Amino acid sequence: MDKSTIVCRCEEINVDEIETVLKMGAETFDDVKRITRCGMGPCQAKMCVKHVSNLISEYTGKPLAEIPPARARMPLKITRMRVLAGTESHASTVKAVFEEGDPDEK
Amino acid sequence: MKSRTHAEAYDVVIIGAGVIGNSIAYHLSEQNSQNILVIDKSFPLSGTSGSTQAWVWVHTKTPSSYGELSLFSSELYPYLERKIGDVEYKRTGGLAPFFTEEEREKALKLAESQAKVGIDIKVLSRDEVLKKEPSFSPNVVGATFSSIDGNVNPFRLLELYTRAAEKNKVDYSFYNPVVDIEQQGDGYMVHSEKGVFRTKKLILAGGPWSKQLGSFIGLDIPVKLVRGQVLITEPLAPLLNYTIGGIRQANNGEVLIGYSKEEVGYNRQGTLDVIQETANMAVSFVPALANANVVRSFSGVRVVPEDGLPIFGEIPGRKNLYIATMHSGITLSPVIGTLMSELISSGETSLPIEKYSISRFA
Amino acid sequence: MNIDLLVVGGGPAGLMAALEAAEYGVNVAIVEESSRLGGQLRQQTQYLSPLPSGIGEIRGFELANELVEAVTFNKHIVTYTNHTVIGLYEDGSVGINNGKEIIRCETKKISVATGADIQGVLFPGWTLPGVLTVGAAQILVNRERVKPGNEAFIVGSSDFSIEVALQLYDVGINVLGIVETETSLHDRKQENLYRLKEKNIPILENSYIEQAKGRGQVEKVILNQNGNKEEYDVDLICVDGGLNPVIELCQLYNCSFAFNEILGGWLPTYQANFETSTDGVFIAGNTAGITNQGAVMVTGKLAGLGAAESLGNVPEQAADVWRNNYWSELAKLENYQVNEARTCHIQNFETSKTKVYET
Ligand SMILES: Cc1cc2nc3c(=O)[nH]c(=O)nc-3n(C[C@H](O)[C@H](O)[C@H](O)COP(=O)(O)OP(=O)(O)OC[C@H]3O[C@@H](n4cnc5c(N)ncnc54)[C@H](O)[C@@H]3O)c2cc1C
Ligand SMILES: Cc1cc2nc3c(=O)[nH]c(=O)nc-3n(C[C@H](O)[C@H](O)[C@H](O)COP(=O)(O)OP(=O)(O)OC[C@H]3O[C@@H](n4cnc5c(N)ncnc54)[C@H](O)[C@@H]3O)c2cc1C
Ligand code: FES
Repeated sequence: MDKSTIVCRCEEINVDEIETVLKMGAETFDDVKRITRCGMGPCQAKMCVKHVSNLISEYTGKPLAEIPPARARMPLKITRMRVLAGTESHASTVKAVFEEGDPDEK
Repeated sequence: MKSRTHAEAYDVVIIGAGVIGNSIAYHLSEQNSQNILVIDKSFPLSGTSGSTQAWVWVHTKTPSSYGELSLFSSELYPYLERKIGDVEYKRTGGLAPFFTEEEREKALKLAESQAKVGIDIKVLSRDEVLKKEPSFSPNVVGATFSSIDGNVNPFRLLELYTRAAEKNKVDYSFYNPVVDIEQQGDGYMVHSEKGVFRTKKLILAGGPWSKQLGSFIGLDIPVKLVRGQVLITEPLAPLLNYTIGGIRQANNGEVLIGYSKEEVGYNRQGTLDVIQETANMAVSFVPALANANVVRSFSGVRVVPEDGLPIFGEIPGRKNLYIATMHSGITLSPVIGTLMSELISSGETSLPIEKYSISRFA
Repeated sequence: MNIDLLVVGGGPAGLMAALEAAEYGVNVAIVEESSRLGGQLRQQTQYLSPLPSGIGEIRGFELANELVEAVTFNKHIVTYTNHTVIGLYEDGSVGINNGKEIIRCETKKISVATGADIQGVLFPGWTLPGVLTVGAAQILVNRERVKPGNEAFIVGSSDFSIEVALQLYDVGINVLGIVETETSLHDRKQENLYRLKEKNIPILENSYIEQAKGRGQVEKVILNQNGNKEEYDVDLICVDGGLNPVIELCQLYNCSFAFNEILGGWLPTYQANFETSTDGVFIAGNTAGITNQGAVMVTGKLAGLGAAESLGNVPEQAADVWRNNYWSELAKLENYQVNEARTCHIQNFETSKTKVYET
């Protein structure tokens, strides 16, 4: 396996890009994911999480048992916006920006 | 990256490798050759900076003085990019839609007050909104618009701050929680899991964990935690021309939606309730999003000072102890880094910062 | 929807869990993401063995049909295909996508039987069309009746990939060999090894794929065997990088997790009744550790029994008797190492929680 071998197919991230983050001190799949986007593709890491964990284990010398799994995120499966939106009108926690004067609040 | 195991002396120790801590480290390292260490209990982007909408947003920030600070910061972005590299900063212009006529009144008032500090806002009619952003819902009544707003890639931003600082010989210690802080004369001893560091100056940039850092040294940091959940679609063909309050399209075509506000402490587990409300908002703003696939959501914990405004500067009565904690840190990081590094190295700042001192809560 | 037990996943484990619980009068709903019940059994054309006592010689898809029939005619069980669990609401109720809207389901207990994901194998060129997992190849051949290629290598020599090698051979694909990095193989099903020999399919030990090449599709493979490189013309590479339990729903339930290599990696910790550290959340089948189909069925029974007991539908003593029976059956059916690992995993729940990782 050479450095240009693809690890994450969805986002086309190779071994070299992952090793660069490991050199910075990354220790978990989510660390690698945020910097490289590896795992953020349509399969949501199903195809790459194991490979990345193996690379982390090789690089850091830590056993796989110390490399936590990727965090689960909803929706667990790709879901059409229309289906999620349903018919109820939106409630209190999500507000129109202007109503608050500031998009991230104050 | 060296792993640091025993006591070492630094000129400056920064606790927190989020966008705020790293911006300060980078700007400080550009100014002079101080010995700087950044410590993080985890890895960059594990805190709020890795779970953010990342708008560089100005025009609706009030009071105007806060709007002005945001304006300065966004004006620094192009220069920052020239120095640290491409952080995918795009000044798209920002639209904040409204859906009732009463809101138009408020919009006009906002435009008037922001004009005084140089933030140019247009209040658009329905037709003007739809002309600018044809995919927007025809139910819109109007919008405020400013060309100064935009967005940035937060992952790239933090990575490049870190790399630039590293190049300037800043040391990093990751996966190293700070467990106690001790004042010693004019300096501080920082106790961490991997060892003790002695430093002349100490900066608390712990984001949502600021309260805990304060407690190590007997300070109450008046902030609250506010969770936000954001939906992400699959990459879509170009759909949005502007950064819209609540929705933006990233460079790769993904659309990010939402910003719920929930006070649930550090809990980052999302809920379907909010995800569905957010989807609902997406469709009512931009009806075409109904056909998009949602691939994931994420949630982040904002740290929000009790009065909503940033807290930064030296802590009164504690020599050489500084703090920088705020919401909208992505927008503000260039200006905060600049002002804090001025303050730390010379004791003076190019803009007045008194109103952001923590002493206002006393 | 308002029920006693929600079973997520309509594979053999989920179906058995539902049938077992229904025996005791529990009202069960099964939700299955795909359009049909049966899970991975649906494309198993081979005769299954070993199977729980009382089940005669039967092929995988035939067994699936029998289980589906039993479930369909059970008055305590309702089934929902094309229904996908996508997450949880704040109050703990389950969100299910039926294709039109999200249904909110309140249930007293839940049994997670979402199966396993099959992993790929990394080598330069693995993203070329023509490289598939053995699972995908099996679905194409047995379910879709599509021949994915003509000249093939199989990568990885688990019983499962050997099974698939034989099935590819049967539809006229020339299998050049089964590539295996290890140098000695043990624990493989003897009869399958015998059938491989019969069909002249070698297991190539101490070897790996150095590279796959081709324009827009696999055309050539460079194989490294005992340090020697050789190029072959192939248009199909079927890889088996192992199975991992699908644990996302358990993560949302905040279950504790432990890593167990033999059981397939990270999985929820659980007790002898297959209940996890989160009250009312049971797991079954491959989600509770990768094992063979016969054993998967018994884990389903254990989870169904556990749920029925905790609902008060089975007296504790009776439940214990049945549970012991099922556990001895499980020990008989599954590979010794797997059973050891499972026992160890369960002790881990009871004795120490130190190695437990919480997401
Ligand atoms: C949903 C959401 C949307 C947002 N949208 C926007 C937006 O559009 N525009 C905008 O400008 N802002 C936005 N924000 C806010 C912005 O993301 C934050 O203001 C910013 O990221 C804060 O950065 P920080 O460096 O202060 O905190 P963080 O990124 O959280 O960094 C703090 C660091 O300190 C470390 N730390 C804490 N305690 C210790 C300890 N004891 N020892 C060692 N290390 C420690 C942590 O590990 C962490 O890495 C949003 C936030 C959320 C949640
Ligand atoms: C691709 C593949 C091929 C296999 N081939 C063999 C073989 O040849 N021989 C062998 O001995 N073993 C094989 N196995 C192992 C086999 O999975 C088990 O023997 C057995 O089928 C597992 O049963 P199960 O009920 O645990 O899972 P599965 O049979 O996988 O059933 C899980 C079910 O859950 C459904 N599901 C998952 N998530 C959700 C959700 N969120 N909402 C609703 N439904 C959901 C899935 O659609 C699926 O139908 C294979 C496994 C895989 C993954
Ligand atoms: S392969 Fe990495 S996200 Fe799909």
